[in-house]
Amino acid sequence: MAWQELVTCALLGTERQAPSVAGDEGALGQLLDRLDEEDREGVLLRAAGIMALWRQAGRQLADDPQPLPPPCEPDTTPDCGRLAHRHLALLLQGHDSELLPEWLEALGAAGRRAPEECLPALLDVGAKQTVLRPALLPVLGRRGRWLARHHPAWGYAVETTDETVWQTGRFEERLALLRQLRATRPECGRELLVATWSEEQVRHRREFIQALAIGLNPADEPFLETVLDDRNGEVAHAAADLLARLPESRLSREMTARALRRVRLQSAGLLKRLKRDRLEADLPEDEPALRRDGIADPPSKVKLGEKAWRLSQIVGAAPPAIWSREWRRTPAEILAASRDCEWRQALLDGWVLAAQRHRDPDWAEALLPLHPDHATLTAALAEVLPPGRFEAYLLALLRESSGGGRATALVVLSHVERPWSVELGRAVLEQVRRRIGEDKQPDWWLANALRGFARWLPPEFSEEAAAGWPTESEQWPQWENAVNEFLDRLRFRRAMREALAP
Amino acid sequence: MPSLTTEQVIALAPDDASAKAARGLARPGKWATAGQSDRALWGECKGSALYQVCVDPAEPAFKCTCPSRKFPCKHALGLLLFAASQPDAVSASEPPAWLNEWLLKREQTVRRKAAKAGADSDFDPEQQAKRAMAKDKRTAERQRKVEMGLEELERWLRDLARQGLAHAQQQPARYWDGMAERLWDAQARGLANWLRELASIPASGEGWGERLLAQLGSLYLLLEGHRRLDVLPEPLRADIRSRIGWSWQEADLPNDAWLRDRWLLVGQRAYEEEQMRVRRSWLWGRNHDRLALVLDFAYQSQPMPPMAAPGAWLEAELGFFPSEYPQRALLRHAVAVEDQGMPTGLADSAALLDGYAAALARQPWLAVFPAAVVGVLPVRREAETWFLRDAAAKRLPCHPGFIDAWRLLACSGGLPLTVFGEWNGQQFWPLSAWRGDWFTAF
Repeated sequence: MAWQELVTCALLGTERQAPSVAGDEGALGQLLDRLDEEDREGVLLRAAGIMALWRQAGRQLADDPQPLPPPCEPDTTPDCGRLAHRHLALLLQGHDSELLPEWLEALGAAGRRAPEECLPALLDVGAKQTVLRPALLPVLGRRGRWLARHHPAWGYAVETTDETVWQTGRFEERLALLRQLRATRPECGRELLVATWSEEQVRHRREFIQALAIGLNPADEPFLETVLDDRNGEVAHAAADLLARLPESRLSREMTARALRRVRLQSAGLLKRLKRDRLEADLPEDEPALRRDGIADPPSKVKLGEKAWRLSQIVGAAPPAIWSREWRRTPAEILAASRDCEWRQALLDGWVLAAQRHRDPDWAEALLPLHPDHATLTAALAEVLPPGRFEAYLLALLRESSGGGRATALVVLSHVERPWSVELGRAVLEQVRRRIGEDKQPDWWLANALRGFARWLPPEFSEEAAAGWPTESEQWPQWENAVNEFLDRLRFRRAMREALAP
Repeated sequence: MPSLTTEQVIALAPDDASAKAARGLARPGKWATAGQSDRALWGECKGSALYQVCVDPAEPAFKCTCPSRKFPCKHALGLLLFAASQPDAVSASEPPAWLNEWLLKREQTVRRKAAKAGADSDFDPEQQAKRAMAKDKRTAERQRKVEMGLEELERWLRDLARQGLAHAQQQPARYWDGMAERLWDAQARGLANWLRELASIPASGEGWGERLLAQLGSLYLLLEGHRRLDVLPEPLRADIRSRIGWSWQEADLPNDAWLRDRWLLVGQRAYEEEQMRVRRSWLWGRNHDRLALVLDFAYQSQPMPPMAAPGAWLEAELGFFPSEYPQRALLRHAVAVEDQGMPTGLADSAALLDGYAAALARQPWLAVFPAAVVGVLPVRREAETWFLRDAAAKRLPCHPGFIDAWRLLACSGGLPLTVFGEWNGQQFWPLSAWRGDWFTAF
């Protein structure tokens, strides 16, 4: 074709090749014929201009060969409304992205769905932050679930009860299916997994096993037992972790027996010279049976020695209630008795792990005051407490006459992410106001924590919260910004909630 | 009073830092007072001092007593964001005296400008003649410089053609930049920018030679056209001059260039070009069914002239630059209004190509062809390449710079919608989309 010849000539340069433009028919050919052939550069550039324009004007589009995916079914759920849409836009732009989970939950509670325009941004957030998914999935609406099918990273949001996805889908879609099944019909989910287990790739196995935590029940034990022999250590460990959460499993019972063999209580008064209870422990050696039950080599970041770590893992796998039953002591008494034990840290680590695994509120409450400034630990332990108990525990601390308990309560609250009652909010603010009024140097951590508190107070409390600050205090100017930010955040939450109220 | 959405407010911010700071100010604790009337918003913002902020969201116009050189400043944006997210906190109330003063001053300025425009025609004839002479002299001087620049460009192009594109591909960046700079100095800035765009083609992968040759040919035709400027009809003459870099001021445009209408801001796009921020706004006039392109420029962090956000209606006069295919225009006397309607879309992508070909026949150097196309669906094919697929299953490639394809897909729900955007002959850049009374901009 003449154009390609012209391009070749242009690449070489007219000093090497003369452009040839003859041979085109019709109007284009007539126009090109009029070019002065003596002027090689002129012919090349003019012909290029003319032909390029001619091609540009005559351009055709390709056909789209693929069939269209089915469109989304119309959504009958109402969307969030204009004002709430604006709030969401602010949150997604980073105005206060920590409030996004609350917005999503409030939207779900109101029985509405997120606006279509924001769905890609929301699905992206959910792809990165798995913790947001439980709040996000119910508000995506049909449109969101439809959209998620088009993007591999959004597979987690694809809703399907179609079990053929297990055979044909991508990993994310299969994982999502497994999770959904586990939430409603856990045995179906397990059976799907068992059927294909031997063909699953190693890199997916661990996540599949972890998904069994949803709807975990004693019927899962036989399968998990076989996974303990998986050649991949991480996969086997994930199975051991689940088995340790089933109190009646072989693994749990064996761990309990191991734990009871290793840790003993010497009662006060039993031997005359012992004034108070004392714990004694000996350290377990490495052995194949223990390895099979998930206690093999300590992760590199562990501070305990290898044997002490093994002890902590054994204690961590046993249901913590056994200790009170065995020794007839409360968790607090047992913790007190551990004080002089050489392996105390290993025991504490184990109990913290066990309290979480077995969701034992007695142990969680007893362990909470030990390291209130350890953020993740405190958050994990507090999470075990049911709401009423959590509040009662903190209110009791806040009402203590000693400053220590009150300070502990504030520290614990600064690490725990769960909503408060009005009563707790009042007690906390009274405490904060008192500390500002005391005219001491401001506690910077408390000023920071105040911003976090604004996430958990009931938003309808915002007006009451605005009154009664010790503005006359000498330290007030140091606090003013923090308090204003706290109030602003509370008010924004209130506006956010009201926009979503039915 | 028209209230702006948070996206619209963020779009007004001169830079990301201002947007971020403004978000921090969208909270009651930052405002000693805040209120709104049917004409304006106001507030006193607690910064290093108490700043008085006035905003007329319709135009929009801003005033703040802070010393910031950014415009609009974070306080004005913060007030708008605050009103958008917590309208109850910025409630209707009696405006303070300083707000009324500002409104009054603005009214006076508008009136003075109108009076001046009216008075210009019966200005002292002697003065006018003098001014015209000075202007002609400047024009002649520029004309001379431009012609010298064009002569040099022609020599450069012919050298390039002689030595070959393969040779040019091996040249360092200054081969292109040097020519671009000389054209800039010759006040042929349109051509200077064109040259800079060409510089990236040799490294653009397969088909570069073909793409470069097409551009060089088009450029050469422009030079040919310029040489024969005297024999060409007037609007085409203007097109050639525009492409070279001449531009029009409000006063240069003849009276019949101005078109009064109700304009929908149907799409907007902002980008940076040579240290300059550029904002393209497409307006559709509902009575004349015309599309117009309003360009605004700002150097780096200098303020961009305020402009309404997509979806807004303006009652205004647009002065079109003379052209065989008039497109670019200046905006004046704009007032925000409420109205409805949407431009009629083309039936399919074939109609878009036909329209483009017809426009090219009139203006061969047309950079983009704006159009709405009905019944299209965003589809993602090989890797991250997006297309708009029309009812006839033809696919229109989307511009790789268009980053909101997922949002477009989310809004479509798999059902066709109308998309407005710019077609550059190769790719389509969607700027807005609608279906029924639902509208969104990208």
